[in-house]
Amino acid sequence: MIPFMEQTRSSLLVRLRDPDDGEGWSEFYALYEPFLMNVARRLGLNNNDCNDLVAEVFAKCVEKLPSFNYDRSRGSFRGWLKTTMRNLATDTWRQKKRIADNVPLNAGCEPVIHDEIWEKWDHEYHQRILERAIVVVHQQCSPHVWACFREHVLGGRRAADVAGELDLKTNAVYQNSHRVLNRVREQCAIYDEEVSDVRTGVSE
Amino acid sequence: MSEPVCPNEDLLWPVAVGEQPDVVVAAHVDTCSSCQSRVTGLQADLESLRDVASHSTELSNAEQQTAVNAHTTTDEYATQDVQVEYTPSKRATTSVPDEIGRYRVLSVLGEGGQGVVCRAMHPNLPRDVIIKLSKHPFNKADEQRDHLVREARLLSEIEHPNLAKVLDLDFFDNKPFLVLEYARGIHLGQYAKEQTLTSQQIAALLAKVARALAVAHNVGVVHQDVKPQNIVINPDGEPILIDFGMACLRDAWVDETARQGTVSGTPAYMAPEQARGETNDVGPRSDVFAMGAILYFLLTGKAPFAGKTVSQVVASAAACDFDTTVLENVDAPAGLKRICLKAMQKNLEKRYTSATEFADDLDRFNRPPRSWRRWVAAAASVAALLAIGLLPDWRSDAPVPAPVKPTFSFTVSRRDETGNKTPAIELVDSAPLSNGDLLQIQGKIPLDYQIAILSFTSEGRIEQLEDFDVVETATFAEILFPKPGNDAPLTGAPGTEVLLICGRKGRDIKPDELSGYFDGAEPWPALPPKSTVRFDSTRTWIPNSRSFAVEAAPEKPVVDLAERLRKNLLKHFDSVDGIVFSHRESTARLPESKTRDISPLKNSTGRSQHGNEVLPLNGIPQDGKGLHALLIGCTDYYNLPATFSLTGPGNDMRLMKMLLVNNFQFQPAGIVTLAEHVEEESKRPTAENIRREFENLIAGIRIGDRVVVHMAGHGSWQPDDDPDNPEDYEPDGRDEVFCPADTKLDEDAKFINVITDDEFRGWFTRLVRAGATVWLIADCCHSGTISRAGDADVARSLRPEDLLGSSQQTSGATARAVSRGASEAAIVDEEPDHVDGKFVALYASQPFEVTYESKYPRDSSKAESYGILSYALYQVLNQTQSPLTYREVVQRIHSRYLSEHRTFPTPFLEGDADSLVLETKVLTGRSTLVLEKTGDEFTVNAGSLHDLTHGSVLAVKPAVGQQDHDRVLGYVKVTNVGPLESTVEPCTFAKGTPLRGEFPRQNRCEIAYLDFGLRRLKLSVDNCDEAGHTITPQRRLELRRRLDPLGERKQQSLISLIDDPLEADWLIRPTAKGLVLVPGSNVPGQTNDNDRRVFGPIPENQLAEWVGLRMERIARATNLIRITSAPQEEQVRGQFAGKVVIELLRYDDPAAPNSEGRPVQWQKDGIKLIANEHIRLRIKNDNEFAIDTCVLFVGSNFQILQVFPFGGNRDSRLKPHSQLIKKLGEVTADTVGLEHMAVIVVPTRPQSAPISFSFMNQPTLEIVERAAEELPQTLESPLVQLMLRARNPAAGVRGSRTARLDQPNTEQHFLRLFSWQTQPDMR
Repeated sequence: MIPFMEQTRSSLLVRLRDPDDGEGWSEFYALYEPFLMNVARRLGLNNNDCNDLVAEVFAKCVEKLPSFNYDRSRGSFRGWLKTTMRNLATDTWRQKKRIADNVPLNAGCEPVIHDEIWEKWDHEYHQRILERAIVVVHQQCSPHVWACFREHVLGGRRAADVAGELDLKTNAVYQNSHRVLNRVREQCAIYDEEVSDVRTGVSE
Repeated sequence: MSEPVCPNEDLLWPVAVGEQPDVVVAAHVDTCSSCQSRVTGLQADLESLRDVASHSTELSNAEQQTAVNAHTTTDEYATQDVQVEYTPSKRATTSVPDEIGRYRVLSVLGEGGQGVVCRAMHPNLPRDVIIKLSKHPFNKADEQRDHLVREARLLSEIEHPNLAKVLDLDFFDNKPFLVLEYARGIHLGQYAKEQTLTSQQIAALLAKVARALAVAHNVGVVHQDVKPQNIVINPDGEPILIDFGMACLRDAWVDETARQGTVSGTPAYMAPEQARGETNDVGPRSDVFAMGAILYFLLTGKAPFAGKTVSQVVASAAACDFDTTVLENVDAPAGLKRICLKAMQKNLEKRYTSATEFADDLDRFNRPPRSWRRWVAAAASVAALLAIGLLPDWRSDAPVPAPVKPTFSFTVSRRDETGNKTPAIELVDSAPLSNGDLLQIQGKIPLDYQIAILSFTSEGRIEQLEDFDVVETATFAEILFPKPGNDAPLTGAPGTEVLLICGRKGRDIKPDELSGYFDGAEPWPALPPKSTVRFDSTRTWIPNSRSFAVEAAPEKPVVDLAERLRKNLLKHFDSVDGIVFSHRESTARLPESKTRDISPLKNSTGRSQHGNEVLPLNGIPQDGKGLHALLIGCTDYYNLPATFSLTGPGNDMRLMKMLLVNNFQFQPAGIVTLAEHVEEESKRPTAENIRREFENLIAGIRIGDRVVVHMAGHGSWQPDDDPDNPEDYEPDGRDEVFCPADTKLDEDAKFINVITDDEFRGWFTRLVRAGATVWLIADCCHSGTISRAGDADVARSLRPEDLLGSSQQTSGATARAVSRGASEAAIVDEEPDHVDGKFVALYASQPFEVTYESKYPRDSSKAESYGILSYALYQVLNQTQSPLTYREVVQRIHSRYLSEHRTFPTPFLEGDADSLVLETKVLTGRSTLVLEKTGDEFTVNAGSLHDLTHGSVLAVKPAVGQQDHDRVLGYVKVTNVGPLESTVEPCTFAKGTPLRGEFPRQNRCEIAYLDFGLRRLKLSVDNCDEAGHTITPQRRLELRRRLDPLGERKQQSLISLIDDPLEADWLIRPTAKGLVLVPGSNVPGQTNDNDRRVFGPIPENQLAEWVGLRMERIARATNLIRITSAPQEEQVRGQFAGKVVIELLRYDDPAAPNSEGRPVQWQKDGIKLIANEHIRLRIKNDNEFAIDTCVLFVGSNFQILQVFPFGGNRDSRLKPHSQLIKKLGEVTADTVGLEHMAVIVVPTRPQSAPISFSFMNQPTLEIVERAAEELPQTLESPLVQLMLRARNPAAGVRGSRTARLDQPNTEQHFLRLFSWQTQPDMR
């Protein structure tokens, strides 16, 4: 028997074991580029350096992902990406410093430590995943269904009020919202994350 | 059990968003903790989404709308916590009356949703109290009101210095209020911030609180809200547990409708069962958990459970999800961390059973270990570190001094043949006593204490013993009876003797007052000879008794009398302590014993003084000829630093000699002692003398002789002296050595002048070859390696059969043994037809363990050092009334260790464990496994120390000699394994029936099936290539060396490297295509071989790495199969599993309308699937509650993939009365070999996500050759057999339950394994 991998819902990282999966890589880029750029900017790099740094991070991903051991512990990619980016950022900063000041590399010219940026990494990473998942699901939803979700879930409005505006039954608002939520959950799973970032500790 | 059906998530939706839910749904959620957790999960998801959406520019761009206005959510559960602190609150707004009942209110301390807390004045006493007044009127029937008052009365009776008392309960304006003692001070949370507490202080403090808790638990009251804020440290530094009784009165406090399904208590320290609202499980152990959580807090500075909202905290508490790494990394003693983790076990069965047990462990932690001196392997380096002051001196944290309580020990010593006093032995271990035995009492009393020592003699007299000394120290006084230099020999007639010590604080005990308390003593009732009865101020007990049934015990009349005496005396004294023992007729075996009251000083042999029967040895003449002993005890290592010197071995020698002479008919002349206390140089335990004595011993052996060799001293590891010899390959590169007294250290810090395992191996082989029955007792560190451990799991092992080369060996093994013991090879060859003796070795420790010497008797001021093994061995053999087998001896030694709270080292045996000590006869009929029934529980007298494992099945038979002794009465399965004892329950096995009804007391159990559990896979390098050509030893050795890193890595727990390819599960084999990994059953050059899985090629330069990873995958896959295929007992699957149907369905054409699948039938050779057919898995839940399911696919090449639930699909919950039919894969001709589907089902658990085992996922192994088309029919490899067993229903493996998956309730999961093979489509 060849077990179903449920290809359509397979982890993005699993797909990227195939270096030729163009679609997968574009999605990967769309998912991480804004996030990585945001981090790079806050590190105090100029626009060119930011672009270079993020490009280097992606190059590293292309190199490593085909053999990435993704499923040992959920969230491991999150940590790997953080370390990779941090190391590359330090290199970038050093190079910059060397060119600018032409001083020898020693302990005295370590980069400014942006600890607060790296501490927030996990949270922001998760937020980015969630954001992207919502956007992707939004593109797949009919406007009608999406409206229920947007108003009721994201807007926090009462289902009855939303139902009144959209000329639906209250139950339909609940059901539509639920369907979208389930799609968002699936999309998050493709990114190896969960909607609410709480570890239950049940199976891992 | 008729719980309503859990609604779908979309029906729960309104509940989660706080809108009008369906009435039925709302009512259900109120009572269903599972749905409550689903609601919480849903809320968390929605909250996350809102949060993200509110900042998302990408989303707003995408929508081209204004960003959605997000609301800040309010947490539903945040307001439900009504806990109020003892800290003044600014929120107190409710007007509180000036007086509540009789109490005048002084100030309002706090206010919550349910009640208000004030400080008030007691009406009559000059003290303040705390009043907790409910806000809700108590509108219940009178009888409930009475019930509440009764409960409060119960609470008010609990008294403990570390507990704030409950003083009163009354009603004010029909609202109940509780009056509590006011504890002044600051709470533990603040205290810990302000003070730096040492580990010892933490342990002492929490032990006190735990003992206070235990007092309350004993009357059936659980605190339910133990946290640092509820422990007040008073100005004296004493901890006071406050707020008791809140839990019990919560029914009264809280408005009935608000209470349903809510969680009360503080979640940051809460036990999982409490956080999940499983009120039935909440009990004393929940408080124990909270105590553990406080310990966690004190060690790490953090509460174990944290989160942004209360519901998050509750969720992590419910899942018991706390950060253990923080604890691991914190700089605190490991012992304390272990206590913490044990108390905080998620599964309450695994926690301490009581607060007292928790407190006991903390107290034990505060008592420093007795001796470290035999720890040799590391001793040199430790000594060096100490010398330059690098090791932290953890003892500098002085323990909190505890008040001295009067404690006494009763000991006995005797005179040996030279008139010297033997070391003192505890009286309870020496009974019965006979005339001339020297009694000693030592004790500790507080300084202001008076004592009197009395003896009730066997003749019925009461005598006061005044020959004792009181030696005062700074903090206590020590009692010594008799005075140093004097003797107190037992005299008089046989009968029952009582020694009694009465103590009183302050006042003198007048000589004449004592007689007033006893009016004419009668002689006491008889005791069984070896029994003793002890009593002290708190209780009366029977030492060394394994039975709890005092009622039926022969000691009962004595126990009753002692108990009466004890109670009477306590009316007049502050403490009593005593012992009752039997005084026997001196034995008539020896001439001296004919006279009574003989002065022990004139007694020259000492044998008459010994109370024990001499055990007749089978076939040995009474003159002791043919009995040899060589006792080696190294104490002074004069060539080594002083830290190496020992004191125990000298005493061990004396003890052993006494034992052999008194109990085993040895003649002193037959015992050669090499020890320091002997003056002559030739009797000292030097290497030269040891070698000479072994040669002498061997020279004097005749067939049938018995030999005891006892070695006590340092043992160590040395680098292999001949690393390149493939015949003597030590995989760990170490020789194990015994250190004689003249051991030296060379400049490389290597021990020289030592005796290696090879030498011992040679001597023992020759002794056995000469026909001797040899018993080796090795009481030294790493002793398990001296003649080589029998545990094949240990890579460095040389097995006993290797050592002795017995005739039962396979030719290969014998050849190896012979060539290994190089110098003995000639002897083996010369005497092909002689009768071999036997060899049994008792080792103090496993090879990797160290052992100790310690002071015995314990708590005696006259204690002396002994090796703990030697002392225990002496006690065990001296206690027995009938011959024991070696196995029984070791079991009893383990028991003694446990009673001393030792969990290591682990003494073990190799050789014929079932023969009687020093006998040649093997007691085959003497089962070591006996079934007992206590209450409703069945137990057997064996546990993990005897290699019994969970899930193993035992056949119960009548004892040998009984009628029908070969008939199987029924089967039992091991459900719970303790170290020495296991719980079992009846089960069906194979075609046998479960054990039913009555079974004979005299029975025996045989292991019918041993569940290996997570067994290690044995890996070896093959000795031939794929064509069957032998490979050179050099090449083998080279490959073997390259695998060495495996022994050091984490794979060590999964793989054991072994030498013998015949025993290996997996082999590395050189082939034309390079190195490959093959199953052990794969015999080269045979075309009819069935299991032809060959993995590789292995990159030779990464041999260990490559093989390690693959073996890990193989082990995981096979263990998964093993776990899910344990023997099945349909009858005991329980109600839950009985209502779950799991089957494979076969569809002719699934596309056809109304197509129904047919269950795939078992065939006699297993399931066969045909390529391209349509197969679905069906799981049907007929229970009244939801279940979680999980399906893992295990490919023939050890791939594991969780196929359901897959990825983010969280809805693997199967509602009540519903079914799931799922296509899980394509059946194709591309796959061959045995494949498996493991289905795991558990009832949905509250507050937790559906189960997932996706962490098991792993890719397949690289394949060189394809497996054969045909199934294997008979194969020897355990691995292949396991696979076949998993596949063949005739072996009874169609599904089972097991407790291996770390679920809280062993009853609560159901596993099922499908195994099949795919055949090509022939249509």
